[in-house]
Amino acid sequence: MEIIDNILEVSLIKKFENFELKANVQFKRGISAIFAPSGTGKTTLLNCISGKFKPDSGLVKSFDTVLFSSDFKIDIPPEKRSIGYVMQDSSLFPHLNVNENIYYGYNKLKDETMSIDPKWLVDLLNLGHLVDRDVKNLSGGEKQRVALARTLCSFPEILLLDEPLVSVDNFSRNHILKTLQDVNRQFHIPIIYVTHSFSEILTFADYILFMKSGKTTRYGELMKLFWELEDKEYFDDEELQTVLKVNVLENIISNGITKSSVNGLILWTPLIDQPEGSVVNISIHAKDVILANKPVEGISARNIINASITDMKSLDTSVLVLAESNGVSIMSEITHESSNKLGLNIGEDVYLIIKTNSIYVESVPEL
Amino acid sequence: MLYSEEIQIFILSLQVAGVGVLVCLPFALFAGWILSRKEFFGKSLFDTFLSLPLVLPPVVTGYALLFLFSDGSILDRWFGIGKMDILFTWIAASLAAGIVSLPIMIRSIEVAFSSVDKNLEFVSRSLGTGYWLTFFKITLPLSRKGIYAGIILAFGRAIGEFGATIVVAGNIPGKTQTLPLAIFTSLQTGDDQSALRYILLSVVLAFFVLIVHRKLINH
Repeated sequence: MEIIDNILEVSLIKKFENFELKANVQFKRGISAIFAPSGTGKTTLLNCISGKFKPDSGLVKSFDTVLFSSDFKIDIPPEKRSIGYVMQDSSLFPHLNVNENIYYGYNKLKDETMSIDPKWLVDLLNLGHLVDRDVKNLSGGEKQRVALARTLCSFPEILLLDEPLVSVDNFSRNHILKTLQDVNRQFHIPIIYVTHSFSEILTFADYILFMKSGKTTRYGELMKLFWELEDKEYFDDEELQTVLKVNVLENIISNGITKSSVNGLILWTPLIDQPEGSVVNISIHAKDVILANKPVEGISARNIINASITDMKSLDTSVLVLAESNGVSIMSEITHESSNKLGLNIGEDVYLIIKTNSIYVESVPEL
Repeated sequence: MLYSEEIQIFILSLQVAGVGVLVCLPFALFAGWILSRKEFFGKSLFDTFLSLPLVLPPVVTGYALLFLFSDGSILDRWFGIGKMDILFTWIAASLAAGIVSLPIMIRSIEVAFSSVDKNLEFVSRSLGTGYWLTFFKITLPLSRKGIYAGIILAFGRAIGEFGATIVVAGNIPGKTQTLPLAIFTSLQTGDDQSALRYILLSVVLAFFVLIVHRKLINH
């Protein structure tokens, strides 16, 4: 299926009375996150792609289809764009029940095996017990799950999500993220995802688009761009963290811990309630990773990892250190003072010390 | 006790008002949709024109209808309407009642359409449903109550129509004499007893219409 790499080409201008959006980006297959401070035109960009807004000038092209072109006077109506769009407020149809909402745009393909089965989605999003309910009586998380199921049933070629997790409880949040990843993998539907939360991006996205005051600034692979970021304002309120996919090796229930591995690197984490062999997301806050410049003994922390520093970055009040072991990169955030004291430099060896309890295991939804 | 003559007048009134409102309904839906969804040059003039029957003396509206429906008028030349002998029949009374109450219906329907969340219409379209199908599946059901409220209020106004009706349909007992006209005739001939009964009927009808309307807009 990986034939066309650029799935969506956008180059447009949309002016408002006191705001102007200038977007220039070629989205790639996979999951792209749009990350930017509020008021930078993220939603306007999605509105222009979906056909809700008409750009003043420019081009929007999905795969081989021109959706909008001011030069050729093309403006395909939203119903013919095949772009799924889940908005922030879920916008469920209030006169229809949950099931009718989900089936509203159901697009049954000729080859049924290729369609997305609504029942599969209902199960995956854990909506089975809600299908006969009135949509007015749903919680924020339930509403967003229904909205997502409804959009996916129309089998869009591209899926746009505008902060779908803003008013969503943790349970729904994990369900939704898991479903999106499954859908992306199974049906190769590219996802463009607006969010304020950096931790969501880290767990979820392959690519990231940065925007600033109405302009798209950079687009590229998440990890590369993230580390190259000059601007700390992007993640001011966010806890910087490393997210890893680990294999569960052994659950030691009596001690409440789990032995897991990434690329052969052994990590001790709090008990992961999953069978051995399953893959689980874990995250480690950069502030919780202690650095030592020589081996340490007699310490309670169970994870002592010999790594080498691959990059360092000076922030306002701290230093961010990226260290690699077995091809796994882990971030540590320490003070300028500590950094000077230890005499850390790129290329040098360092020991990462991480308490078991500092590792956060992303709860895995029951399926 | 009601006499058969009064029952006949009552039924004729319902018939005249009901048919008048229903005949004007498609036009009211169309106008309400245009006013709530479209921007065009001269929109405020169009809006004002549609509201005219609300402020003009009904007699003037009646005269305009008389003019349109008489022999040799534009409508006669185009559609031969003069030969249909509509004037001075209950159909003429219906049209008069419908047109006088049209602005009320248009206004209610415009408000009902405007109150439908446009996001929902957009979502429907982005799920692959075209413009008109979206109108019938989303816009119309969601503005249903407001439309009903407009219809019932217009019906109430149509029941009370007098000025335009008497110009285009006259005051023919058993043919075009509706409640207000019957009240007028009874008062003129000094038959206070019948006048009172007709007035009572009108009041009951008005109460009924207003209660239904209230229920509809409060939901």
